[in-house]
Amino acid sequence: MPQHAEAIAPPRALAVPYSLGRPLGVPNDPDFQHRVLSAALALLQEWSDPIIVTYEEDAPDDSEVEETWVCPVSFATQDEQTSLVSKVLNEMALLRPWYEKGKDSRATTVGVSGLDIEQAVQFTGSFLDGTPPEAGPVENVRVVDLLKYAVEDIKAFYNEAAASQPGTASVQAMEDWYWGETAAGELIRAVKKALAHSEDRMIKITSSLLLVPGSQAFRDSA
Amino acid sequence: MRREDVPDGLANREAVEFAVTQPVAGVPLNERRVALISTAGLMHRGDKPFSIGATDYRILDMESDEDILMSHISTNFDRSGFVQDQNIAMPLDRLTEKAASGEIGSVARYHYSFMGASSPDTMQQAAEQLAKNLRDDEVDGLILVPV
Repeated sequence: MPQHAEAIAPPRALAVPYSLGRPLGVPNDPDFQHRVLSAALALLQEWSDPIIVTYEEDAPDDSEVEETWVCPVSFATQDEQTSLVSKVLNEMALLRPWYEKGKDSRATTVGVSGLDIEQAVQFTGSFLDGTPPEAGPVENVRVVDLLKYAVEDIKAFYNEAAASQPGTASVQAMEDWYWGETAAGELIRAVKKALAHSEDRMIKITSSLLLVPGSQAFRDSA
Repeated sequence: MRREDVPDGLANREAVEFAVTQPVAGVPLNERRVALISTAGLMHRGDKPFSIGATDYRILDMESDEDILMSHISTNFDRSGFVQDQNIAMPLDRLTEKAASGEIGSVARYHYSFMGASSPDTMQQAAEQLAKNLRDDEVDGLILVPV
């Protein structure tokens, strides 16, 4: 962020115009990434004054990618009686072939929790009654930390499966799909709500700030 | 992120003040050994994930076969790019290609990741240790890649 670079004043800084989380701009575009990285490396040859350079090349805007991306996997309407955890597991079964396809071509980022993905769903679901379990299934990892890792593993599974499907979604379209249309998004939002009044300070901080992006909080606002 | 797109709460966040560090001249880029430092909470599979308040770092070894995972606690930045292509936040493949093409001299063996969520002044001890690691690896070109 240019404002922070100006305040901290490192010897050299390149301000890029990309979404947070994407400092090199565009995934799977080596030429684009090379240009960004070359611009940063070139600053190593500057040694006059602290310098902030604004990099101007935009990532393809949302008119070039799909603003309202539609997941080709159709999640059939699930019975109201089906538990939320079961709904997520059913979705994952449908997404599994796409997830495995992605693993054939790139490394998977699923696995921070150390749980297998179905176990991560079950563990996350165990918070739905608002009472955190006293101990988690991984030794020497706090329950509150394991919840966060499990939530991110579930999201990574969905994102990797979606990335293997046809079409290129914008950052916003992917977020809206996950948090608005999947049972996984619904599960995590429900866990956040269930833990809102927890008396455990770390659980409360984690559930209120670290499970659901602020940009998606509108879905559950009164 | 463009200046005008940065939310006010982030743009106006108080920053730690450092003395201005004057850039120093060095050898040409094509002779430099370059390392990357990320703030994305990256780790090799099997490393201890980052947790709230973490001020330490993880080492990313170019000779490791373990996957690189992201364990940053924040949920307010995009990860969908990273799951498609890790170079978008940790461009080790691009750096390797630049060494092969002669744009830089070589790629350091070790690269590093903090989790950029704690106050920078609490990371000073770890940063000083990391600087020693860089010297030991003969690094003379360093890119900090924040998310």
